[in-house]
Amino acid sequence: MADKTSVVTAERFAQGLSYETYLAQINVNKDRFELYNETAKEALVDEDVAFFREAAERPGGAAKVLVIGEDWCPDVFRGMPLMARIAEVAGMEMQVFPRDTHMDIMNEFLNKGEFLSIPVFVFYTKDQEYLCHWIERPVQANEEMPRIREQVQQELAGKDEQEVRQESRARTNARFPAWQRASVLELRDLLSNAIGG
Amino acid sequence: MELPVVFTLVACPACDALKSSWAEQSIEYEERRVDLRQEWMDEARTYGDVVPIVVYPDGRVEEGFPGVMG
Repeated sequence: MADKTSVVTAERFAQGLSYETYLAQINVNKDRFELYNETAKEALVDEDVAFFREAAERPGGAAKVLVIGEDWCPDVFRGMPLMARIAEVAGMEMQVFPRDTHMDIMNEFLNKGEFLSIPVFVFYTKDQEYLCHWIERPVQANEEMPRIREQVQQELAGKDEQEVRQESRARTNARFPAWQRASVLELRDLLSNAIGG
Repeated sequence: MELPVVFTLVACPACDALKSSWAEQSIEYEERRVDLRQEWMDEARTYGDVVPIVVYPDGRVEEGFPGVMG
């Protein structure tokens, strides 16, 4: 958890990558990032835009967001485009830090104190005071993923594992826009609790 | 000789554990780091979700490395 001994000083935060720069240097899944850039636009309604803008602009609000991710991770190529869209419409300063070359930052935000789950979105005030953070995926996704897998296994019983996996992945990916929407709602709750509103 | 193909990621403790174990046993393999090439990423995902993924010449597939997360 971030505190006054955090490695994320204002100077360190400023060393992150803009979303555009990050996208320009990734090796894999560019097409997925582009796809979910588009669906992220639909994940936000006007009321959300107003909420995030106010949350970013108010004194002591979430003016900055640090994003930890890696391009090979589906949770990242779904989640990071959403966070980028929120930052864009809200006027938040967003800086991206690839996980595997910034493990000191990652270690401050381990999932359940143990796992290197990504993406991580860490919100700060403009004075670099830690506010709150969000990890990996919305609860809705965690609930649906095993159900999808189980349903596909039942429907394709007797088929080979690769076919089951392919169908399971297709149905999971089809839920990504809904999970972006669920993430918006979770992020609103998170920020409301952290800064009010 | 056809070699096992091992799909790996950078900064993956389970991948490192497998590679160390296989190095000690002098097992030869072809490594494909999925974070470096889209075609390897796409190919790996047809076999599994958890690296390391080992595809043996006879078609057997193994995911992960016993006792090591990630």
